[in-house]
Amino acid sequence: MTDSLLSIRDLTVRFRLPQGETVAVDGVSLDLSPGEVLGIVGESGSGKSQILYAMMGLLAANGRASGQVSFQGQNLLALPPGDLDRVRGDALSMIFQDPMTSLNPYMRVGDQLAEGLIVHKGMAGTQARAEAVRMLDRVRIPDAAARARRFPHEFSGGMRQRVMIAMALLAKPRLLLADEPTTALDVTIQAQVLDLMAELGRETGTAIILVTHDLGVVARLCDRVVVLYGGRVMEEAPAEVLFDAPAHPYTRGLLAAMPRLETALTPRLGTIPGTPRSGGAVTGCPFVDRCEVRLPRCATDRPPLRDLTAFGPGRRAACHLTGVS
Amino acid sequence: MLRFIGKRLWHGGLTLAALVTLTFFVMRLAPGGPFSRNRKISPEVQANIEAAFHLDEPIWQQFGRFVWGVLRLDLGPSTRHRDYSVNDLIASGLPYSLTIGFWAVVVAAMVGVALGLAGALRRNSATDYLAGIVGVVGIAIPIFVIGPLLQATFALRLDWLPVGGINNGWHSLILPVVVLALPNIAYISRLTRTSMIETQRENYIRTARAKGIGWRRVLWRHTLTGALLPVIAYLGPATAAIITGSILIETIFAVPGIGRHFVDAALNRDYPLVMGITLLYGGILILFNIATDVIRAVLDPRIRNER
Repeated sequence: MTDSLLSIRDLTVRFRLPQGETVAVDGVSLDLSPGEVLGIVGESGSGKSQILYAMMGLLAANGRASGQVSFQGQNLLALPPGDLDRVRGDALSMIFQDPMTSLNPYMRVGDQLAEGLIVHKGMAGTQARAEAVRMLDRVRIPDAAARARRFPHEFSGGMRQRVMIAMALLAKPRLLLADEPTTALDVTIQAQVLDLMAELGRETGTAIILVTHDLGVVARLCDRVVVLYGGRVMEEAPAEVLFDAPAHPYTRGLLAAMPRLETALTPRLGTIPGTPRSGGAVTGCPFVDRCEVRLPRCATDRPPLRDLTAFGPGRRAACHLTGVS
Repeated sequence: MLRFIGKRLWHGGLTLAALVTLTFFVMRLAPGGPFSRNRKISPEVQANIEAAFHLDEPIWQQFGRFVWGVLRLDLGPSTRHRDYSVNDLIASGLPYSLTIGFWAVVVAAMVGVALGLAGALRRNSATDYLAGIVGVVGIAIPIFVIGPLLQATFALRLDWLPVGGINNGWHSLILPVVVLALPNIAYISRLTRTSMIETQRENYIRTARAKGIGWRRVLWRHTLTGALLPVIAYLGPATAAIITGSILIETIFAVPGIGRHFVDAALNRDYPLVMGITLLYGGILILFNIATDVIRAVLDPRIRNER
């Protein structure tokens, strides 16, 4: 891919724990084109958020990332802190899961927004604050000029997340990382916040990586989807085909567990039996214990992530059963 | 903000009034009086003395007299220290206690916060361990052990500093200030370190780091405010306690402060002096609490909005 904005190769994230080392992300490779919206889905602990944290240099102190994350010709994982600070908050920005605690409670909202512009674009304080107000207006904060002088506790959860979106998009980044941006919000305003984020992203030509466990969100916003399990990519596909023809048994399980309007919930919603295994190195497929169609070799042979040209363009899956048929 | 301060002052005044009233009556309930002695004196003499101090009046009348005195800023004569009024005793002792206490607070706050920050920013480094050792030593070893140890070393052996007293200008201050500051340095540095480490884990600090504004800006503009709030909350009441004098420090270093009056007055049933010192200590404590709340309200908008 020549027009690639982001190219992740063999990203592995390990955490040192008292009981030994655990692998959260296990050799993930991804590519992203400018302006593209990529969804990363998976259940809790599948390592989806850690991919974003590794890119931003925000891993916990006991975490280590290896591999390569090429963004605009630089390997983010190898950058010294000062150089990383020139990228993050400018060309690369991030929205976090919990808007209630992600804003500084002691600082006026407008100042928190303006800060990035002052540092990255060298703007004067007044100019940066004026930009901040304009951006707050664009994320539909009513009476933005007055609101910019208020403190975060005077905003509702939905408004705070819109402030976070404004903060992240203020510097017109090339890539926005969104870590479950609506999980902490009321269901009634989730769609509103997501649509706003996608709309502003389109306007500024910003590519988005959206991490979520909500498949409905993915169907609504994403061009392409990566399904993660046990820190590994299980399947990758354009969003519209993934829902129609999932290739991996895990993806099929996920889709079966998703409530749909057109089918009645009888007898009950599907579930995937068992729980994800935690930590430790896996020799075979990480999903083997819970897979309903496993083969004997699945426990010992790690299925490689293969192109599934037979299924259509841009499709990959890591399963012994797919691609052979 | 003015309304906030006004309201706090009003509440503070009420608290002080309640404290003083309670002290007045509890003190009278305690057995004995200012002139009960082992040596018997004739009932006439006893009655004369008590009449001179209005102790023969009904208690509510005595209380009224005391309140009227407070309003005129006259705390009356000491029953123990003849020819001295309570005002005289406080005026003669307070400057020494204030001077030593003030410098002890300044030293404790600066050194304590610096050690705590260094420990939090370089966790598990030599600095961190050194600060930890100072903390344990400062908290675990009492003033009456450290004081004489320092006297023996720096005054007697090395002859750098006076052993005690108040006649050598600022040289006389060094040992008492250091000894008084030490436990507070220990406590403040521990508090700062813990609070810094906690704040560094906050989500909003992660947001600040994600903005790529550099670690210095993250530290100064984002981390310090939240991290120092608990330290400020501790410093208010601690300052009130420190500047009103410590009987241990004043005894060890022979300083004529007011710390010793706290204890002596109560033991001697010197009613006017007890009331004077209660009023003084209560007033200072309440004032510093208000000052602390005001500073915290300036730093934390959520406190400001509670009112």
